[in-house]
Amino acid sequence: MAPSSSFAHSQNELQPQAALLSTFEIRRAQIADRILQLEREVLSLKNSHNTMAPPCRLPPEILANIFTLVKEDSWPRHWIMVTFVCQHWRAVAVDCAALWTSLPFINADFTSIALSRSKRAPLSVTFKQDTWQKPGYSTAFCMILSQSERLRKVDISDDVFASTFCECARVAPILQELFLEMSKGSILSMSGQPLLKGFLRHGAVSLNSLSLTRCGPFPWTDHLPFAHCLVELRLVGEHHLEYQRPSSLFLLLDSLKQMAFLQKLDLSGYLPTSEDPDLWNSSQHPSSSTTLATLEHVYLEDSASRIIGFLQATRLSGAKNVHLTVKGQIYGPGIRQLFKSLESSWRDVWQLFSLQRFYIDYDFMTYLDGPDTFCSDFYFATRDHPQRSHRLSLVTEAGDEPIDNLMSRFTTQLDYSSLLYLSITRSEYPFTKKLWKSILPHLKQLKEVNFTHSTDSCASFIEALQEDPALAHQHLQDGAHDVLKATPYLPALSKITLDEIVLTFCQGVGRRTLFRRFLSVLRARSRSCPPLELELWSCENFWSRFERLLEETFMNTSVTFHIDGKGYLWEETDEEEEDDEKEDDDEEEDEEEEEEEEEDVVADEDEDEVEKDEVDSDEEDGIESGEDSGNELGGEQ
Amino acid sequence: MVLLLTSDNEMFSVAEDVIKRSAYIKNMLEDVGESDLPIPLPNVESNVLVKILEYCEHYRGEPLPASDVDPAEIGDRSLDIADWDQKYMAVDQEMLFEIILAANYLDIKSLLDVGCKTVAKMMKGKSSEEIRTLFNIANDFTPEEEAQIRKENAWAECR
Repeated sequence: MAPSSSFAHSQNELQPQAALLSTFEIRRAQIADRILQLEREVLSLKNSHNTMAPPCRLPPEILANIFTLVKEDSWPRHWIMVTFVCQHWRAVAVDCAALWTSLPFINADFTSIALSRSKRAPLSVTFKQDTWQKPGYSTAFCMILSQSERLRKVDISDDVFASTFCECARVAPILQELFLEMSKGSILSMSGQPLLKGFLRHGAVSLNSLSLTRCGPFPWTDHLPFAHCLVELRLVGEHHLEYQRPSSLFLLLDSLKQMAFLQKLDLSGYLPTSEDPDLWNSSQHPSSSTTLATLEHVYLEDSASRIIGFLQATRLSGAKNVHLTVKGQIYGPGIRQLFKSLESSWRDVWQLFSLQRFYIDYDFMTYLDGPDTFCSDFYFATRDHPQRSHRLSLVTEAGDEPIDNLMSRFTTQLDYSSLLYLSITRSEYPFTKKLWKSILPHLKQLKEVNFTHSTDSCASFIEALQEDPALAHQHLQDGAHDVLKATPYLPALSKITLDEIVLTFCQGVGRRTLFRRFLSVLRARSRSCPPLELELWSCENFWSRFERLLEETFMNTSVTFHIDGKGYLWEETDEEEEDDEKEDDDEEEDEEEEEEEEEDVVADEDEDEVEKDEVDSDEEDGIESGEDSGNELGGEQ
Repeated sequence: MVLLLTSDNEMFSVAEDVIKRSAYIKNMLEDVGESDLPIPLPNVESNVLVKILEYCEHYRGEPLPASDVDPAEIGDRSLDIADWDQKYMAVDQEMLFEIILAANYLDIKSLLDVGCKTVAKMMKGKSSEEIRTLFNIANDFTPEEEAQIRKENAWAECR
C-alpha cells in the first residue's frame, strides 16, 4: 500500500467535495447565463434608448447625408468615428456607399472593407507623396487597381504609385479626372518614354480633366478616344527635355483642334520650337492661324520665342484668362513681339475690351528659389460689364535689367487711356518717380489707386503727384477760388487706398514730411478735381497726431477719409512730439514763405513776372523733391 | 392664403408665396387647385411649424430652387452657413431635429441642407464618445462589435 500523504483524501471524503464543486460550477454557469442575459437586456435597453435619441429618429438617408458632410469637412478618415457611435449609426454609415468611395490606400485591410462597403459606386483615389510609406500601401493600391473599371478620379503625386498606375492601368471606362505627378529628375520622367501611351490610347474614354507632371512625352500623334470629352489639359515637363515636346506646332494645334470642348490649357515645357525664322521681325498674324474658340483659360510657361510662336499661330477668340510665364529674361524687342502676338491672337479682347484694371505684384514669395520675378495682372473689361473682366497675367524674370526699365517696357505696350483701377501690391522693387511721371499723364480715367505693402511705390507716387505741372501753375483767380490752369494728373481719381503702408515712409526724409506733403497735394487737388476718398487700412506708424492732421487738412474740402480701426494709432513719446513740433515749425515757415510768394504772384499784374515767379517756384519744388527723392532712394536701397 | 392644420390641431393661415418654399405644399396646391379646406400636416406640430414659417417668411421673394435638384448633389458641401441661418438654427437639440424632420417632410431642401450642416458642424472634430455625450446616445455595441471597431479604428489611424 502506498504511503498516504497528509494531503491525501479518501474516496469517501472526496465525494461530498466533488458534489460541492459541481454545485458551485452549476451556480456559476447560471450566474454567467444571467449576466449574459442582463447584458443582452442592457444592450437591448440601450438600443431602445437610442432609437428615441433625436439624431436616431432621422431617416437613414438624412443621417447618411450628415455623415457625408462631416466627411467632406474633416481631416482624412476622422469621419470614420461616426461608425463607432452606436449600432444604428454604424449600420447607416456602412450602408452608405458614398462614404466609402474615396479610397485611402493606407493598408490592405482598410482598403478591402472600403471597397466592399462602396458596393459598385465609382471610386476616387488620392495619394500625395509620403515619406512614411509602408509596404501595405502597395497591396492596397493593387487591390484598387484590380477594380479600375470603377475608378472615376485618380490623383497621385508619388513616383512609385504614379509609375505603378502607368504600368498597370488598363481599362478605366468611367475615369474622368486623372492627375499624375512625378518628382523632379525621377528616372521614369527622364526616360523619354510616353508613360501612359497605351492607357491613353485605349483605356480612358471619358477623361475630361487630365494633368500630367513630368510624365514624359504626350501621345500627340495618336487619336485619343477621350479628345472629345476633354475640358482641361495640363502638361508640365522639364523645360530642357526637347524630346517631350511635340515635334511641330502643326502637330500640337492639330491635336488641340480635336479637343472640341477644351476650356483650359496649361502647357509648361510642352511648346514646340517655333518654325518661323522671322519670328522676331514678323508683325503680321499668319492667315492660316488655328482658332481655338472653346479655350477660356490659357496658361503657357516657356521661352519667349515658343510662346510667341504659339500665339502667332492661334486665335484665342474665347479666352478670358491668359497667363504667360516667360522662362528666362525677355528684352525690348521680345516684349514688343510678345504683345504683338498677344494682340493678334487675342484680337477680340484687344479690340472690344479696354484695359480697366492693372495690378502689379512682385510675388517674390512664390518664386523664392528662383530669380527676381516681375508679375503683373492686366484686366480688360467693357464699361457695361466690368465684372466680366478678361485677365492677362505676365510673369518673367527680372534678371540684370533694372526692374523699372522692364516695367516701363511692359507698361508702354498698353493703352492706359481707359484704365480705371490701379493696384500696386507688395513691390519688392518700387515704382520710381520717373516711372510714375511717365505713366500719370496717360491715366485720364483712373478712378482708384490702391497701394498694398508697397510703401516705396506710394512714396514715389506722392513725389510724382507733387510735381504735377498743373499744380505747380495753380494760383488764385478772382480772389475767390483756386483753379488749375491745366488738367492735373489723374483728373478722374476718386479714391486712394493705402493698405499696410508705413506712413512715415523713410526716416531720412523726416517722419511726417512726406505724409504732410501728400495731404497738402490732395488738398490742392481738391480745389479742381472730383471729390476724393482716402482710405487708410492698417497703416503702420499712424501717429495719433496724423488723425488730427487729416481733420485739419481736409476741413471744408471735398476730400473724405476713413481710417480702419485695426490700424496702428501709435501714441508719440515726448521726444518724438518735440521732433514733430520742430518739423512742424520748419514746415510752417516753408509754407508761409510759399504763401507769401503766391501772394506776390497774384498781386503782380505783369504776366512775365508771374511766369518768372512760377518758374522760380517750380525750381524750388524740384530741388526740394530732388532732395527727398535722393534720401528716399538712399533709404530704400 | 393657404390653411395648414398641424398634428396638434392648430390651424395656420399662410400666404401662398411664403409656403410655396415647401415643394410638398406647392405640388399639392398645383394638383388640388384652390380650396378652402386646410392641408393636414400630421407630422408637424404647431411650435415647429411656427419656426418653419419664420424661415419661409425670411426667404420670401428669393428664387425657389429647382424642384428636381438635390442640394446634396450640386450644392456647396462645405459646412459654411449664412449668418441668419446660424442664428435661426440656434435652438435646442429637440427643436433642431424636429426642424430637420419637418423640412424633410415638407420638402424644403434649403432648410434641410442648413439643418444637416448644423448637425454636421456639431459633430465635427469630436470623438465617438464625445458625440454620444452630445446627443445622449448609449454605446450599444456587443463586445464582438467593439473588437471589430477597435480594429477598424487602428486601420484608419494607421500612418
